[in-house]
This record gives sequence, C-alpha cells and structure tokens, in this order.
Amino acid sequence: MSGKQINNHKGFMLSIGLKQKIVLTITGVILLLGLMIAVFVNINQTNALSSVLQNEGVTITRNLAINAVEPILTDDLVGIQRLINEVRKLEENVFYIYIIDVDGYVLVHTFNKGVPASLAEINVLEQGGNYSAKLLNTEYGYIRDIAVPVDSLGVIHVGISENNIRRQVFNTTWTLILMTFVVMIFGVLLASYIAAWELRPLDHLTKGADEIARGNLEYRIEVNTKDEIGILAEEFNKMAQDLNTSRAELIKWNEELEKRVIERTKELATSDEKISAIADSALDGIHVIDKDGIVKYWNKASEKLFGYTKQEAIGKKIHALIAPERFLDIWQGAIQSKAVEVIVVKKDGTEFPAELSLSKLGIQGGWDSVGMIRDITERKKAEEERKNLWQQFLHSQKMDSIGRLTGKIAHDFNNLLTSIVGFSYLALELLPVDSPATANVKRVCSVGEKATRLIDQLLSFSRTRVLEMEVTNLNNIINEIRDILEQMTGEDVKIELKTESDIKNIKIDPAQIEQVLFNLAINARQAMPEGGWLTISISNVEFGEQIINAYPGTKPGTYVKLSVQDTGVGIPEEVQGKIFEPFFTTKEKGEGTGLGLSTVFGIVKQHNGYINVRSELNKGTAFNIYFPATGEELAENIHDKPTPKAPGTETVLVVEDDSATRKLFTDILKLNGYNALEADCSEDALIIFEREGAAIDLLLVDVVMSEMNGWELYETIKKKAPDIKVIFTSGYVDNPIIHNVILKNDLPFIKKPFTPDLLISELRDVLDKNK
Amino acid sequence: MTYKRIIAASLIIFSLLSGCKKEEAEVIILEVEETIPPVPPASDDELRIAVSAIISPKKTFIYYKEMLDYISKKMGMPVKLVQRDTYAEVNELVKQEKIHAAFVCTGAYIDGKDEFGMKLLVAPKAYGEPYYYSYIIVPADSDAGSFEDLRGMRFAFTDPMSNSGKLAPTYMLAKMGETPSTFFSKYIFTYSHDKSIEAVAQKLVDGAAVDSLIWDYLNATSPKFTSKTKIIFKSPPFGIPPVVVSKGLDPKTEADLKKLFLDMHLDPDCKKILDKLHIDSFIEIDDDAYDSSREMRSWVNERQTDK
Repeated sequence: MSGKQINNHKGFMLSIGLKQKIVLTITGVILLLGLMIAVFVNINQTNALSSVLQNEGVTITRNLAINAVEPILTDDLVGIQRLINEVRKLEENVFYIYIIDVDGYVLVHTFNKGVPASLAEINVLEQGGNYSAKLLNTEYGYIRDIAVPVDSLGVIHVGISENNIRRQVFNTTWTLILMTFVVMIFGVLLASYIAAWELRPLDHLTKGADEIARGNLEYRIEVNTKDEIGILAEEFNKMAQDLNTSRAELIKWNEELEKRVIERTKELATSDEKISAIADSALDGIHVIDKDGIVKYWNKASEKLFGYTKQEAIGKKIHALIAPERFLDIWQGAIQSKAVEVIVVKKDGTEFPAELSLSKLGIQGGWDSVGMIRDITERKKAEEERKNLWQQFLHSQKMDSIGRLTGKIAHDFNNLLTSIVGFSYLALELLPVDSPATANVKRVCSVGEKATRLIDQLLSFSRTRVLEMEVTNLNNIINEIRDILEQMTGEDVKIELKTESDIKNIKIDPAQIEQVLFNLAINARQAMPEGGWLTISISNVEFGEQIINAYPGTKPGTYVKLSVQDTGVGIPEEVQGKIFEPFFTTKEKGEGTGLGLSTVFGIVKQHNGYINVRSELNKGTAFNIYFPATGEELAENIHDKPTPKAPGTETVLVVEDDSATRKLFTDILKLNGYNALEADCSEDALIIFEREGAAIDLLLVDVVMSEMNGWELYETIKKKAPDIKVIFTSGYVDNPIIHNVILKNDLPFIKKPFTPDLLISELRDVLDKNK
Repeated sequence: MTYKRIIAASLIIFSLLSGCKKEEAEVIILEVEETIPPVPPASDDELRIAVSAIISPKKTFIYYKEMLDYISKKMGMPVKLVQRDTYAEVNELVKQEKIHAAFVCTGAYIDGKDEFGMKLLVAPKAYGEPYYYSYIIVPADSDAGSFEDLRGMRFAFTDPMSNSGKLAPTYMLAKMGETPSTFFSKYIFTYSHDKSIEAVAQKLVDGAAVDSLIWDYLNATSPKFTSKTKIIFKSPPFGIPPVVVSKGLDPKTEADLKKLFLDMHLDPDCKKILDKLHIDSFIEIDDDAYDSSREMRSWVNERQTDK
C-alpha cells in the first residue's frame, strides 16, 4: 500500500461520524471472528479427518500386504488380483491398489490401463520402514498414497481418496461463513439502532458548538442524560459561560490598552524633542543612519563640521555625504569596535581626520546606527609632534650608548699605547744614534702616535677626551685656520666666510673646534668632487621657548651658531640619521675612517653644544653647530708649549696597578736622575709612605685603581704630609673623579699615553711650583 | 490509529489460530500414457528350482533364498525359486519340465518316479545320516502317550503326497486295521509341516504327523511352537527327501549342478548356509534308499483299495 493510500485511509477514518465508526467496528469484529472460526475449522477439520482416513488406509494396506505374501511366493497372482479387486469394491475411499515387486515391476493393480508412470517414485518407502504416506493432488482430487512392504517381496500401494472428507469440510466452512453473514447483518442493524439512540445527545452538543463558533455565546445545550455525554454538555455550557465572561473582560482590557498607547505616544513625542535638543547641544557631530546608510538624524554640530544643513543631509546616504567610498571598510568596522579614526570629507571637499564611534540602536523590525564624529585635527598635530620628539630622544640615547662603548674601547687602547709609545721613546733615547734599530723604533713611535690620535678622535666622539678649555672667539679661530682650510679643500672649492663683528665669546677647547672645522671641510670637499662653494657663517642666536620644545635636551640662552654649508651632492634622507654614528661611511673602503662626523658630533656634545644637518640631494648640505655663549673675557697666552726641563734628584712614589706602565714610569724617572719608589696598589703605597715618610717628594698616582683609588690615597697621605706634591695619571678620562675633582681643582694630571718628555716636563713644573 | 491497532491485533490472533498448517500435496496427473511395466516373462537363461512346500512358502523363501543365490552365483545364471501350495503341483511342474530342478518330499519322489520317471540328483545328509523319520506329535500337555491314544481325536496330515506326514501314519493305521476316517474324529491337510506343528501347538488338532527334519530344525532354531508339542512316536528311518531334476535337463547342466551340490560343504561360504539349514552336506543317493517308503505305500494302497 502506498503512502498516499494510507493517508486516504486515515482521512476516511477521520472523516466519518461516530455512529458510522461504531457500526463499522461491530461489523468488522463479527466478520473477523466469523472468518477466523471458518478458517480455523477448515484447516483443523481437514487435518483431523485426513489423519483418521490415513490410519484407516494404513490398516487396509497392511492387511493386504500380509495376505499377499503367500500368493506371491507361489505365483498365485490371480488370487491377489481377486483380493485387491474385492477390497477396491468394498472400500469406497480406496481409489487404487497396486503391488510392485522388488525389481520395480508391477505384479497386480486396479487401474484400467496400467499403473501410471507418474506414481513411480512418488512415495518411496524407506529401507526397513513400516509404511509411508503421501498426499497427492490429482485430477481426481486429493489422494493419499500409502505404501506398505510385502515382506521383502515388494511394496503394496493403496490410494485413499480424500474427496469425501474434503467435501464435508467444505460444506461445514460455508455454513459457518453464511452464519457469520447472518449474524453480521443482525449486528449492523442492532449497532445502528443503539448508536443512533446513544449518540443523540451528541447532536445537541454539535449544534451548541456550531452556535458558539458563530459567536453566540449566550447559547446553552439542553442536558437530558447523566452519562459522560451529559457531563460533557454541562462542561460545555460552563465553558460557554466562561468564554462569555472572558470576552467581556477582553473588550474592557483592549479599550484600556488603547488609551494607554495614546498616552505613551504623547510622552514619547515629548521625549524625542528633548533628546533632539540634547543632541543639538553636543559639540561632536551626531547622526543616525538606518541599515542602508540613509541619514535619519543630523545634529547642529554635524552641520558645522561638514557644512551640510539638516535638510540637506537627511534622506541621503552617509557615504555620499561625508564618508568617501575608500573608507567604507573602516566605517563598517566601526560598528564592531568602540571608536575608530577615519578621514571624513566636508561639503567643500576638504578632508580632515575624525574619530568615529558607531553604536547599534535596536528599533522595531531592524536596527539603526548612531554615529558620533569628533574633529581630531588638533589632536593629530600634537601627536605628530610628540612622535617627532620621541624619535629625537631615542636618537640621542642611541648616540650616547655608542659613545660610552667607544670610550671604553679607546681607554683600553690608551693603556696599551702608553706602554708602546713610552717604551719606544725610552728605547730611542737609550739606543746609540747609529744603531740600525733606531729607524725601526722611530717608526714604532710614529705609528704609536698615529694610533694615539685615532684614539683621541674616538674619545672626542665619546666626549670623554680631556678638554683644554679656554675662552675664545670663533672669529679668531676661523681666521687662524682659514689658510689651512683653503689648502685642505683645494682650488676648486671656494670658501666664503660670513661673520659678524659682535660674535659672543665661547668657552671651548680650540684644538677640538679646529678639528671640527677640519673634519667638516674634508666632508664638504668630498661632497663636491667637481668644486663648489663652502660657506662658513657665524652668528649669535637666542634659544627661546619654541626651540627648547622642538629640540628636547636643549637649554634656553644665547648661542653662537657655526654653519658650514656646501653645494655638494647632498645626503640621502634615509642615511641622515646615521651620519654621526662612528664608522658610518658612504665612502669606499680605505678612503675614510668613518670617524669624521662622529668626532664632530662628540666634540660638539662635549662642549654642551648642538648640531643638526640640513641636506638636499644635489643641492648641498649645511651643518649647523650651536655653542653656548659665555660672558667671560678672552684669556691670554695659554698656548705656551711645555719646554723640556732639566732632570732632578727628588724621590717619586709611583703608584700604578698596570705593571708595564709602572715599569715605564720608573724607567723614565730613573733615566732622568729621579729616585723612584713603586707600589702596585694604594695599600702598598701607604706602607711605603709609612716607611719612607718625608723622603717622598711627589706622588705619581694612577686615579683608577681597585679598592682605594688614587684620589683617596692622596687625601690619606696629605693628612700626614700636607706639603706632598702629586701628579695624577689616567687613561680613563671620563672618570667622575678626574672630571669633578682633579680637573675642576686644576690638580696636575697626565693623560695616558704620554711621551717621556711630557712626563719629565710636567714633573719638573709640579716640583718647582711654590718652592 | 486505534483502528489500525485493532486490525493488526486481529491479524495476529488470526495467524495464531491458523498456526496448524494445511498439509502440502504433491501435484501429479494420473491419466498418463506411460505405465509402470508388469513382470516380464521367464527367461530361457534362467535356472528354475522348485522347493516343495515341506514347510510354508514364506519360511521356505526365507530358508532357501541364500542357497539359491549361491547356486546362481556358481552356475553363472539367474536362479528362480518356484513354489507351489502342494507337492502334486511341483511334481506336475517337473513332469512338464517347466522347472529344471526341485527339492521334493520323499513321498512326492516315489510317486513322480513311478509316474514319469523323476530323476534323482543328490540328497542331503542331516544329523550324520541320509535318513529321516516321521514324528507323531501331540500338545505338550496332552494325555496321549502313544499313537493309539489318539483314537477319536482330531489329526493333521500335511500333504496327501507326503511320506512322513501322510503315508507313514496311514501305514500305521492300516496295520491297526484302521483308516484315518475310522480312527480319527476329524482330520485335515495343512500342506506343510510347520503349519501342522503350529496346529498342534495351538491345539487346533490333538495330534499330527510331521517330518523329523522340520521338527528338529524348528525346535533348534525357533522353538516357539515345537516347545508346545511333544513327540509320542518316532517311525523307522526313511530315505531323506532328495533333490531331483527333470528328465529333459541337458546333461552338462545336470552334471554341473550335481557337482555344485556335492561340493557345497567344501566351500566355507556355503558351509554356513548349510549349517543354517542343518544340512551336513549333499551326497549321491540311490533310488533303493526309498524302497521302504515304496513298500509302505503299496501296503497301504492295497489295504485301502481293499476297503
């Protein structure tokens, strides 16, 4: 049965009335019962009668078998034939009899023509079996073939017809079916009558339901019975009553609700005006767009910000107004995140940065977005400035770090060079003039000095070189070295000097400033391989609040500006930040040390000045250096060179932890007639001092030593011998003791490396002072 | 939904009720041209050997089947066992040469010899001698102690042609000057010795004359009936029932057959068959061995003819 048929069937059962259902059920039950009985009787009676008939058949067959033995053995076939004919005639259910011998040949039979071949092999007797029965369905009806052995001589088959018993069963079955139908008709009539009588109150119910469905809630059902239907009718009437009451209440409620809606609508309208007023008073642009981006609200601040009036904006797409298509993604992103920065467009087409925050506003049947836009032009500018300052700060920090690193390396080298240079000079003095080694030792001295200068440059960058400061005027220095500069730059480069007469004095190490000028000149010449102008200008400048803010770390005050400007190839923007780093060079390998500009930078910083570079490709570069001006007057005669002094006989206590340097000191002293005592640390020095006491004229002491430093040693000894002389020495010129104590108090100091002449000369000076 | 359930439940009950299945029938047609063939006529190559109903045909068939199968095997041709209800019928078959050989009773032999020259082949030797006897038996609990005690009682003869079952008792009656009709109240022919023993055992008769070979054999193998009888008289010995051949049997077959019988006890397989039949061996026998029976017959015939 297909699904559709099932549905139809179900539909049929649902569509028919209760009366019909009852009648159908009773009919069905009777019919089913009747048919079940008929089928049961048919099958069981057939089986029972068949069984009886079979037993009867087996008995007949066995009797025949017993009686057939002797006639078969004595070839008396006529006798057997007569016997089976007789039995066939007497037993009405016996349809046929035949005997076959052990070889399968027929001995006797009751058939007209012969035993049909179709019977052969149809009911085969098992070896040693008593009998075998088999039901056959033939054109003469059902026949049960019974086979019984005739001793070992053959088998006798008797066919028992079941036609009689089957006819009997058939008649019984049909009688039952007929009776079933009679009972069924009677049942249908009775069921119809009962159903009609019992279900009459249901008709009333149906009518009542119809009336209520039509809205007649006043209708009541007539209740006659007290059975389930009667109870149902009463409940139904109660329900109608309740419905009636509920409907009246509903109507009342509805009216009440309508009234409230009108009131709330009025309130909302007032509230809308208020909100609108608040939004108009806001400084930020506020707008409302629907999900398609159509502007629904536009406040006063938006009018000011974008130039569109409320009337112009409302009803247009927001993207057509202020948000260019290219920023569409950002606008969409704004809905998810809190606030985003966007570029917005004014009515006149100008763009400005703004901060946008969008929030969803759930409304009936969808959503709107409320957008708030704030002009952040000023804020962005400030941020930009802050960013620049931060980068400059980072740069200066980096330069500082590099400086410290190179300073450390340079000082280590200085210590080494002290021995190399010192011993080389000593060796030179001790060697006979005509010694073949003289030339070589001289070369060592020369290379040592070159190395010393290289270290000096590094120290200059690291701002740790010991400065010999004096008050001077830049004009004087320029005038002094102008010739040298011209020589250095060559003929193709013309030097132009722009200066003023009232240039303020500055306190500088002139040699260092000369170095700055030389380095910048060399740089300029290399920038102008085909010639050009080198302009050196000097001017007074005042650092005000603005400059202080633009250049962090600068201090307000008067400065002397030294500007060295060329008309060369210029410095690419991307490398401008790196030119002051040591060993940075754009030149071929071997052409420059990469220390030129970093030295300049170090010197300027050491003089508490500032340097910056302005460069344009193929137009030229300008280095601007600012030195703080000083109110002091020019010093005089400070450039006296130390003159070699005569040897002495005084006793000098050398305190030096580096054994090579200590040996150098004592060798030089002894060579020049001095009496040298030596100690490798402050503690030893104190012991020697205790022992020798007043015999010691001078302390030659290394400043930087572990445990007790040179200054502390001097202080300790000075307490016991106030007149004792001292010369400090160190390769670490950035040591705070050297800067803050020794140099500040103008105490004698020899920087390593040094030449023997310098040491002896300084020693003499100190010993002779205040004599 | 409810209706569906009701229908489903009904169907289940229905199928349970009809759980008792109808028997299946094989469909065949009876009105067919082809038929199962009847027994074909006897073949010429067949050696037909008759056994007289010394015992009932059913028992004969059981006892002699094995021996005939052995003969068939040795002779290399099929052997058919032919049986008839009476000795006369077997003699008739020998006379008409419808059979080749026959186990006949002593009485039948002397009649056949006289009538158409029935030819002796061999004779069995049983219990060590080529003789047998006629036993007069009565029910075990019978008061009769001698043949004379049976006067006026019911008596069973076997075959009218039987030596031990008819001729011998008739001879004894004749000696006593009696005939069966005068001596017995009633007498019947059972046509075989086992039936006579059964008749006495079941007291259908009060006495019977039977072949000693049969009684001894049955008493040894299945004493169901013999145990209910007792022997009250044993006759003098008679020539044992022989194996005969028809006059027309070709000499070679006759010679082969004779040799086969004489050698049977030498073949271990066949010895077993002989043992079952309580036969020691087959021996050559002279016609003289049956003279005692002949005399008895002629004496009786004379007497009875006189009567």
